[in-house]
Amino acid sequence: MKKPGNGSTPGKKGGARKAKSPINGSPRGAGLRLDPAVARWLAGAGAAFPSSQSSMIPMLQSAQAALGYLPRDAMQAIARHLLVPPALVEGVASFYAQFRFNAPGRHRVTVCSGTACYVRGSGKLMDDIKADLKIVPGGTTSDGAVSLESVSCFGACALAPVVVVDDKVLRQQTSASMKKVIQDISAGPSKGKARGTRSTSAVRGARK
Amino acid sequence: MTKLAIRADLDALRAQLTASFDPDKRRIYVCMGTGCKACGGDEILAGFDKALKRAKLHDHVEVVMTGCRGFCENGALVAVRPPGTLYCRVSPADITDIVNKTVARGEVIERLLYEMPGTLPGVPGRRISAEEAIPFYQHQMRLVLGLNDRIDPTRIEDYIREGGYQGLAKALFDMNPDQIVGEVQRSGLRGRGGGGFPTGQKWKFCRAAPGDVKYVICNADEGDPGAFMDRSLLEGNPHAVLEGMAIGALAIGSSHGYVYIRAEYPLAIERLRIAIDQMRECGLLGENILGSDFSFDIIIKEGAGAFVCGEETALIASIEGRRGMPMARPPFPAIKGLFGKPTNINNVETWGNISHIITDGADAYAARGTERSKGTKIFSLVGKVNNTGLVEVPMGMPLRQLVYEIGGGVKGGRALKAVQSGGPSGGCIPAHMMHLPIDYESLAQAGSIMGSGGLVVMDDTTCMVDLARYFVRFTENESCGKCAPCRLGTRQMRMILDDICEGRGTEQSIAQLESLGDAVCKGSLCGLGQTAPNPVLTTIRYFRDEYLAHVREKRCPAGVCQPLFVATCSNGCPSEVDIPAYLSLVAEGREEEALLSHMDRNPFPSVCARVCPHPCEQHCRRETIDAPVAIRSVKRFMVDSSPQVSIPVMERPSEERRRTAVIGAGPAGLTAAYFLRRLGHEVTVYEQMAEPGGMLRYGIPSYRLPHEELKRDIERITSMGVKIECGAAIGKKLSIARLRKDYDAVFVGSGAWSDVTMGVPGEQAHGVASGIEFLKNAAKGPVARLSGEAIVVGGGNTAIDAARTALRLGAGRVTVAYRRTREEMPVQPEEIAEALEEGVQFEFLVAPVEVIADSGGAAAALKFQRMRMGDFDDSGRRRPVPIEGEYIEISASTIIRAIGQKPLVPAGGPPVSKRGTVSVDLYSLATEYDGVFAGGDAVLGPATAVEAIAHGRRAAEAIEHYLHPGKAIHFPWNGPRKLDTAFDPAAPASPAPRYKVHKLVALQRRANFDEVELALSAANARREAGRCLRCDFGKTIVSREEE
Repeated sequence: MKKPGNGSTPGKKGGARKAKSPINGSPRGAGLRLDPAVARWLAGAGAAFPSSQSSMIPMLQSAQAALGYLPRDAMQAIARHLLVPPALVEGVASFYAQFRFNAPGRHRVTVCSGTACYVRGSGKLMDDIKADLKIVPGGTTSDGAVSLESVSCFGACALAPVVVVDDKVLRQQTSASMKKVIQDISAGPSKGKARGTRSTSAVRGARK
Repeated sequence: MTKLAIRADLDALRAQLTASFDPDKRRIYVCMGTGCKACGGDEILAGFDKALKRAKLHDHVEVVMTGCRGFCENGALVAVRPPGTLYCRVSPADITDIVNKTVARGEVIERLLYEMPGTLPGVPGRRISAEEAIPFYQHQMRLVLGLNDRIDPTRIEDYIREGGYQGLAKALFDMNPDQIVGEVQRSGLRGRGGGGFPTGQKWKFCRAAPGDVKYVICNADEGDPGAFMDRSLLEGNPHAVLEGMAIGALAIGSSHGYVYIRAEYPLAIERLRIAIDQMRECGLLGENILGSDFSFDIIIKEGAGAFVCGEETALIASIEGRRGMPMARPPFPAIKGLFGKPTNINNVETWGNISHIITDGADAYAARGTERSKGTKIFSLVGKVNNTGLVEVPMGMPLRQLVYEIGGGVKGGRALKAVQSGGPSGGCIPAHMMHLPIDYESLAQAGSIMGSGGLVVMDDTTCMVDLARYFVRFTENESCGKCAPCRLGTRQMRMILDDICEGRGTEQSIAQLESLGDAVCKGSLCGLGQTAPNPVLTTIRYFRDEYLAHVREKRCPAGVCQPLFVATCSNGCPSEVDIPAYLSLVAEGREEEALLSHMDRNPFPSVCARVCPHPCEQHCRRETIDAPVAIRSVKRFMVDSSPQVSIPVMERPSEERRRTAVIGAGPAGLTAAYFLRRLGHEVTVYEQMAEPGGMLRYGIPSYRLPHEELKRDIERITSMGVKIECGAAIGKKLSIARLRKDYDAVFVGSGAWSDVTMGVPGEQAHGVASGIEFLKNAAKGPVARLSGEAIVVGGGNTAIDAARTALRLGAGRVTVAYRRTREEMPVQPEEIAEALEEGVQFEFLVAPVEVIADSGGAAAALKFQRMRMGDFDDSGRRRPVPIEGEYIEISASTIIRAIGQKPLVPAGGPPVSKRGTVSVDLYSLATEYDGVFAGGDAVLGPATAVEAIAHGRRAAEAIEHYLHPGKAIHFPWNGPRKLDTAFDPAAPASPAPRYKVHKLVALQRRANFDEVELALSAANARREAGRCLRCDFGKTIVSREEE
């Protein structure tokens, strides 16, 4: 499993070297009283990013991969690290669909709403799953078991309609087959995979 | 991996890799693209290693993981070469078989081979073993994707062995940057991301731009829903893209490259990382590449989910760490781009073409494609098509070849409606334009764009209004919000489309969409907004009728817009019978109420229970579980149980009652009469023949529709007070002018009784008859028995009916001769099956050329030209073409032509179109004569009874509005839906399988006209009715009556 963000460390290019203060050990957000998980991330993976605005998106991605979502603390810490106003970080984060601001459920059900899937019935499929889980895309069931999301396109169009449950791509789903899948994951224990793995950034979140 | 210090090292490595590669060694190629991985690719890959070891074959056989082969729907895919067998839908359970049979002994495993889509129900398609012989691959030209299925994308050695990085070496040592740019310009390559801008020219601008730091960017933010070629290329052959980038950087004088890739593509990112690491290790990336003075490095940037970042200025903003909002151009990125420096951005597929252009030369490259669109293009062919997947074809291939030959036609044999190209920026190309060649110009002319290459195939169950709404909703969500026309315009358009889809639209809504769309196109800052209205504008352009059906009739013909219909079955019924209502009533033993419900839409239940081609069953959702409900069979029981109902006639004051006349007592005319009578009007029907019923009486043989059953439906109508005058031909005494004078309104339902001749010599011979005349005479009553042999020419309903009638009349041998094949016959498959059972013979691919007569002038034989199936036409059927010099003769004393019918409009009747059909307004069925309406076959040409019945009701409603203009009326049959049958939505669906119709055995039916289809028992009928899923349950729909 690749470490998130390492491909984005811009080596010697991209004006990164212009950053005034190299980071060794003491992250800039140290003055803040941070949530311990955020602080751990910032001291670890977060500290490796050079302090230039082009690090912003990779940093947000790294934080979300580590924490499962972007708590306000994390955005504050990133703002400090990059020497930019927190509003700028939130502005960027809220622009992109990938970023979430609430903790996700133990399992993530992501329904593809791309054209190929739509033409093959993903609209109806989504309606039925919504009715089944009693939540809308972007929401999490009250027991915290399942988050529902929609994605614009997975690029697995030939298998339409596609639903991704945690890491697994499920092909040609129907309302009946999804009902069973949801029953299984709601009943079973958490796989504990949803956080900290690459797959969390693999899915584009609902844009609402 | 050793570092390649100079060019000779690369050549030496390639020579060494080639020498150690034995092409005859047996290899198992396991596809590991995203699609096949989703189907268990990893497990299969590991399983083969183990199985080979177990079979002690691992020294002789190699397992190779490859990138995406494109045929994703059939995954997981495994190829064994030699001999080149492709296995589809492989699961880990098949591994042992493949190793023991195919790998060890060279045997082919039949069940894993690709199966051609079966064109006839119940008949499996042909299975194909060799990969190249599968139509999906046969017509492709895989240049950019060429290596995807034969190299391991995680091994740079495989790429180098197959000639990889030779283009870079050539560019570094044999060419100067101007020559590279010139070569790309001469190749005619245009941007594959959608815009189609000439790549060489783009490079030239960037090369000429002043500045010592320049950037090249690979745009892998493949956001178009429905397209995945960039993903597949990056997963299957990342080095090809990276080599292209290196060549491009060399040409424009850059040493920094970025790949901006969607985070949704984790596998592609992983493969790119591996490839970049390997390039660095080999010295193909970094300082002084291959000993030259060219230095270059590449960084991966993951996108964060914003469609607009596919736009180049927004992409730059995103890399810089800002909100991905586009900027006004100029300055173009070629002058001022990433970090303010000259930047060249190309799409993944464009970069993938570069090494081919440099290695093979511009001329070889430009030999493919059309005048202005060169090379190949990768398309993702998806949606309602049999073979979905990724295909690469030369530019200029006609769309229909892509859809029908490579794609194998529309899924389930349904009708093609349109192909959507270019994603949310593109447009819909209707079925009748499938001859269009695919190139940048042709698609633009049709109002669409090439886009990144998504081709979504749509059939008759796709609603074009809903599709337009889907795309506008997408762009509305993805609009970055910077400029008002896009931000607000897409929202307004979506709201208008919501109105239309939910039954609140008016014709004004369509006009608003058009003007708003125009404004958004003109006023938006970037490509996203400028093209966002395309899906709306093209669907209005080509499918205005469908929009009109939504706003005028509150009807969604495709059965998608939920608030507009009760259930898909009723929506699929031309006469819109409330099917869930009568099914559930029959299930509870309430046949009278069921029949009453039926009579509110269609007064011919007995007829439709026998001869309706039941389009409702094609739309039944039960099909997703097992098989559609046998709706027609349940109806058959309903009418057979002879429920007695009386239909109320509306009581109206005498000044509101009018006198109306109907010409023709066929299904259209009698239905119009029935509904007019229900409204309280006086109706007289004039019928030329001796008995009422039209085609139902004289065109459909009584073994399919017994005369007494027809009589039962007609008596219900006459008992309400409809007068039918038989033997009353329109003409001398009874002219249309006269009827118009005597009556307040006239309906013309004169049918399609006119026959189309074959136009061959000798057709006047004795014994040659028209199919419809032949059936008419047989239905009239006692008729002379036939002797000798008979031929029926044609492939439709009339042909089959005539053949089976001829058989029953004693003909020795009956042959149906058709110019196409069985698959193309426009007739219900069960009718062909019944004819075959009875002994009718079929001769396919023959066209009549001459009737051969004996000396007495009587027909003796028919001479045919042999045909073969040629190319596809726009309707998706292959065109029959003559095989020169090949003829056959079939002897026959009776020759029946049944190749078509045309409307028969009485003299003095309303004006007709070029096709001979009466010209009417599509909605009111009003003809050009005031007070004269027309419907049924007279308007449609030969069609089905249920369509004629639908016309009859539509005309009756329009006539009422005509007779009382401006007066609000509530049609009694449109009452609010009050269905009180029991239904538990939480209960599981009935597990019963579909009822199978019982028929008389063939021997018993050959010599008589007894009804073939047998009645079903009450228990069977109730069980079948109980299979209904009750899609209507709990639904309220929009009222269709004007307020």
